[in-house]
Amino acid sequence: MERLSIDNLLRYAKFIHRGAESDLYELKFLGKKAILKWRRPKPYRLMSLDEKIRGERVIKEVYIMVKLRSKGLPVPSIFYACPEEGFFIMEEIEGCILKEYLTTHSGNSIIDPIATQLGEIVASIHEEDIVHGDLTTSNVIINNEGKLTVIDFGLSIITDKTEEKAADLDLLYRVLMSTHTKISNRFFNMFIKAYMSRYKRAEEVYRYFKVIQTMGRYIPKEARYVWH
Amino acid sequence: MAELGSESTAHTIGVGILRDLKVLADVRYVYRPKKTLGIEPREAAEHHAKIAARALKEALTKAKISIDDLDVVAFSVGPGLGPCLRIGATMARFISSYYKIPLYPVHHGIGHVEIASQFLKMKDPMVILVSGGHTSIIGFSDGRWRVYGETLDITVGNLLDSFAREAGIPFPGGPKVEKLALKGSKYIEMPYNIKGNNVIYSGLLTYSVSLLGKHKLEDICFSLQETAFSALVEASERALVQLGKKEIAITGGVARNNYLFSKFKKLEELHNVRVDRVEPKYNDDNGVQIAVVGYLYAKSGYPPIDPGNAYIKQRIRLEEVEIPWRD
Repeated sequence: MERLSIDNLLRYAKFIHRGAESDLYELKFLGKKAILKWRRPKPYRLMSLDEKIRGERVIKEVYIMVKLRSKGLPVPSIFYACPEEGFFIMEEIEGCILKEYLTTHSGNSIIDPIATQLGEIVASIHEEDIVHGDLTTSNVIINNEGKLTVIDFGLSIITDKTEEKAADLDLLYRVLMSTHTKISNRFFNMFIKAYMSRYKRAEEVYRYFKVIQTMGRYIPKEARYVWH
Repeated sequence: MAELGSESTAHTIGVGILRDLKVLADVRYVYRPKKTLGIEPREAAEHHAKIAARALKEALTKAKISIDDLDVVAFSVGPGLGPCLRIGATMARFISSYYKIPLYPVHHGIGHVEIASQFLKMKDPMVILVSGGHTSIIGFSDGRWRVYGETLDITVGNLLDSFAREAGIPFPGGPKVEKLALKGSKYIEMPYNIKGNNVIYSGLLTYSVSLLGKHKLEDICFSLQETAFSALVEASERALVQLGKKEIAITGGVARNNYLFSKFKKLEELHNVRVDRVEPKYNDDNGVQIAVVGYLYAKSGYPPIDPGNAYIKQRIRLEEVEIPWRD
């Protein structure tokens, strides 16, 4: 078998997306449809520093996903990881990005179970002291049975800090308000209800989420909270 | 239109005179600390006060213009050191009230931002403002220059100057650190902190200071710059992808740093954007950048301020300022 180097793999892979940090490719891996996520080398960083940073981030991302998966949470399973070259390969999730799904689907009977399911998943993630870090509707996939999968743990961190967990809720709230205006309130209320019922420190996080709402720009300096 | 700008945020007192954005005079005097290694605000203000009238006269002579012929007077309103800001403001208030010339208060950071966008002829740039007072990733949107990422603690100029001071290098230490770094080659691992589009530098400062005496100073300087700048470019790259801008202007005192600029230059090919900075002298604090913004205010028909109300603001965020000349 050929060595699993990035050069070898890219020959069989189809480019699908470029983000700020990494490129995504589609390929077959051991007969399964898979996604390769490659944190490309950054030419502006000293090579030794760059390799270290990319390697560490791959390890962290993969570690978090494996941990969540082992707890039975719906995240893609990891097939292969190579911190030395800054990439890993994971299962491809079939379905539709929740952001797009919500623009074409509305009505309480559809929204409620999705919001509830997402609330339960996020509660379980927080229960593991993991914060997603980029919890938007673009990072959730819904399949044709209505089952959700959370993706992109590139900005995730392991922490028990309430304020970090509250930041997850805040980002989701802001995304709902700005992109899913019509259903935002209903969706977020159902989400929070499920989150509160599933996570024992939810009260604390929710209280902090309310504090975050009073932060931000154009609020008098004296009243602003300083983030650490 | 002839515009005068007065600048005295920190170490520099400057008077710039322009005619329709063409520089006629750019006079500046820089305070150098005598006893200490850093700026002593009261001493700096004393320096500015003694030299202000001379700077004004010199600028008028160089520009070959009489004070009555000015159409706009602008001054640096903040953010900065209170005692210093008051000197430039006093001078501007005097000219405005005695000669009846419209007066505009100018945010110092917006001076840096606009001198770069105007002189580089960039229409809608992402601006990286790096100085002793700012480390911000800025873009224009909805009537204001908005901050999309910034330092969560100390600025990059602060980081370099404070490190230099601890290493016994006198103010301004940043340029000296850059020179020393050129002779360094060994990378020492340091804390690399980035959170979203923001950078965090205080841990890096503490750590690099703790290495003094244990490693070659050149290597510490090299590693300090490498770590701090890489994190900043990475944060900027994230913001760039989010905002989808096509031009990047680097501005402010630290923009003079060639190592930092060369790192930002690498984004050109990576994201197909234009990266540039103005000539070095316009990256340092100067009166010209203040005059540029004064001109933009006046040209857009924005109402001037009554000299009696033209107070300085030691703390003022960039997004607080309405920008009437862009859309």
